Amino acid sequence: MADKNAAAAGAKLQTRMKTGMRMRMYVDRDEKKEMREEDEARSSMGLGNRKAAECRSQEMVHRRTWNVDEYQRKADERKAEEMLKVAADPASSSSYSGTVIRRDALDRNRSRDGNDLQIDKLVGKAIVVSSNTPLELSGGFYCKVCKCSLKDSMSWLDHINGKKHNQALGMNMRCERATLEQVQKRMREHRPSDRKKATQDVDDEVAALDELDSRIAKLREEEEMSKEAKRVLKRQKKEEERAKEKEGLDDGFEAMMGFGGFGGKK
Amino acid sequence: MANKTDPLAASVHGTNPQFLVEKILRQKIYDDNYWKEHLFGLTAETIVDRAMELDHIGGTFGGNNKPTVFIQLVLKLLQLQPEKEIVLEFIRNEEFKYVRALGAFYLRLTGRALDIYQYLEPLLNDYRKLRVISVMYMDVFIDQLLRDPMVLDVALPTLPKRLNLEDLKLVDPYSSLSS
Repeated sequence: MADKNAAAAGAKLQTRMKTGMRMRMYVDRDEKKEMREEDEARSSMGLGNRKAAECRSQEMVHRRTWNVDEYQRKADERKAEEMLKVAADPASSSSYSGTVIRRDALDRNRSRDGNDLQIDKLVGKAIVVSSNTPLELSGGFYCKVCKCSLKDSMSWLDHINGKKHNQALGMNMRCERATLEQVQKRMREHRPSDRKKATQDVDDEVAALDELDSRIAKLREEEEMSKEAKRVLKRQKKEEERAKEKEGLDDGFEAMMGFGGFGGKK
Repeated sequence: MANKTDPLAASVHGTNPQFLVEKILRQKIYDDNYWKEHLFGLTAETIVDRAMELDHIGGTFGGNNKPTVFIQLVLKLLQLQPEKEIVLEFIRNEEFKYVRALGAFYLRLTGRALDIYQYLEPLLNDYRKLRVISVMYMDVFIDQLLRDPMVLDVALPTLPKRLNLEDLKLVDPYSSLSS
């Protein structure tokens, strides 16, 4: 065990030297023994409370300790100084000072105000842009509050809905909660007639399509009927013609000439 | 606010209420134009305006599985977590059937079993048509909410069987409310 530890200590030294850390080249025997003992003590720390306590009590473990009271005193002094500084000049407060910024609740009308959320404004327009044109005239969407320009509507919406923009407008990202009375009032304001108007075009379309279907069906029927009638007429005519053909020649011809008539016998 | 759940909201079924909608669908909704343009910064009061404009129910549509306005409103309600009275106000609304459907869906996702049975069963008497991918009826929709594990692309939390609740005497034995 001792040999192993010595070997381990030796190996540790070697690795330290390899990594280029400044280390003494030579370790005298007493120090080596100390290091070995330390190692043993450290490894025995996990063996159980009594053994660990023994090791600790035997001052085998040299760990750095700090004087807690001293440092607490220093921290209190620093805090007091900071408080004085902030009291004298409020603008110099850092995040340690503990001031809370109260912003207004999120109001979506405000985040869209002053920027005129017209996503379709520039559709179909061509803009000539040079290196000198200011951002607000360079196409895309421009936010006057944040002085930033965005090129597509998605990122524009993300910006308008985003934390930076809303905080610049003095709002935090949380909405006020609505009460039951507010919801009921809103519901009463919507009348079924208004809603019928909203879906009127869809209903009209459906009705129109139904009408169209029925008209087509009717026309088809009528066509069929007229076709039938025509067919019947045709048939009648044909029969009449055939009857006429047969009567066309007198009976005498047949006997005299030896043939029935001039019409084809097909 | 954009996508964070209201800090005052309680957890629902053990999680953040918005997590009742699965990650993929949730992310699609966050990236949607309608969500960013119209649903940002809404309260339970202003969401009424959007709900009144509904003319369909549905989960996602199209080859890209684009989220419907209905499911986006559901996620918005999950984010806001309105009080139970407000949700019941949505359900009680007789004139606007899609507002009712929205409230019913939200209640099914977040409500306790007893509340669900108590407030959704009367809606089984509502025979009005609802526009979905194919046409549906309100009572069919409510029946789906009470039986199916997944409706409108949202996995519904498990609902204890009514028989079990009846055995525990927490609820009266089922009698059909239709006359």
